[in-house]
Amino acid sequence: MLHGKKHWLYQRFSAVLLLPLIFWLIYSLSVVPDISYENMVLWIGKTTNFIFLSTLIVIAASHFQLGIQVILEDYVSDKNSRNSYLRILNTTYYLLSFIGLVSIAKIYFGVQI
Amino acid sequence: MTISKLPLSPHLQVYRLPLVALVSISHRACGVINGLGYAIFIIFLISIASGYETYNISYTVLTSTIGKILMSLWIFSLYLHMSNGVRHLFWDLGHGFNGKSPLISTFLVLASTLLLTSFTILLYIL
Repeated sequence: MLHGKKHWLYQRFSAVLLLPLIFWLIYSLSVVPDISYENMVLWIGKTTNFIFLSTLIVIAASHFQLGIQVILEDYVSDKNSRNSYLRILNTTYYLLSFIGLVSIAKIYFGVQI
Repeated sequence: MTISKLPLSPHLQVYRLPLVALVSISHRACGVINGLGYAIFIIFLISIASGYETYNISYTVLTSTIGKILMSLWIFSLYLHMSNGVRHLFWDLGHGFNGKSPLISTFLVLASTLLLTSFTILLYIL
C-alpha cells in the first residue's frame, strides 16, 4: 500500500501511461476484421500486441488499486474494515492481472511454437 | 471498532449536484466501473486461452445486442474517466481553477467523451 507523495506520483504516472495504451487497445481491436477465435489468437500472437497488452494488464490493475484506495479512504471511516476491503481488492486485482498475463502468454507462445 | 474522529468527506447526499460536481463525482464512479470492466476483460482473455469451445460463450455474449450495449456503456465510462483524468492532470499543474474555467472544462470533458465514444462506436460498426 502506498501513501502520500508516492501514491500521488504513481497514480499520475500510471494514468499518463494508460492514456496511449487504451487508445492503442481500442484502435488495435477495431482493425481486426471480426472477433472470431482465430482472429483473437492471431491478434495476441503478434509480438507488439503481446507486449502492449501485458503492459496494459499490469498498469491498469495498479491504477485501479491506487484509485480504489483513495475512494475507500474517503468513504470508509473505520480503519480496520477499510484496510481489509483494500486487502481483498488488492489481492483480487493482483490475481486478475496474473491470470491475464498467464492467459495471453499461453496464447502467445502457443502461436509461436 | 474505532471510528476515526476525522471528518468524513465528501458528504454526497447533502449537496445539490450541479453539472460540475456531477461530472466530478462521475470520475470516481466510472473508475469503479472501469475496474469491473477490467475484470470482464481478463475473463475474456481467459476464455481465449481456454480454447475454441469456451471462447464461443464470450463470442455469443459480445456479439449479442445486450453485449454491444454494455460494451458501448463501458467505452463511454472509460472515455469519461480518461477525459476527466486529463483535466485532473491540468488541475495538478495548477491550471483551470479561475472564474468560469471549471464550467468550461466540464463541457470540454463531456464533449470529448461524447465525440470519442461515438467515433469508437462508428469505428467498430464500419
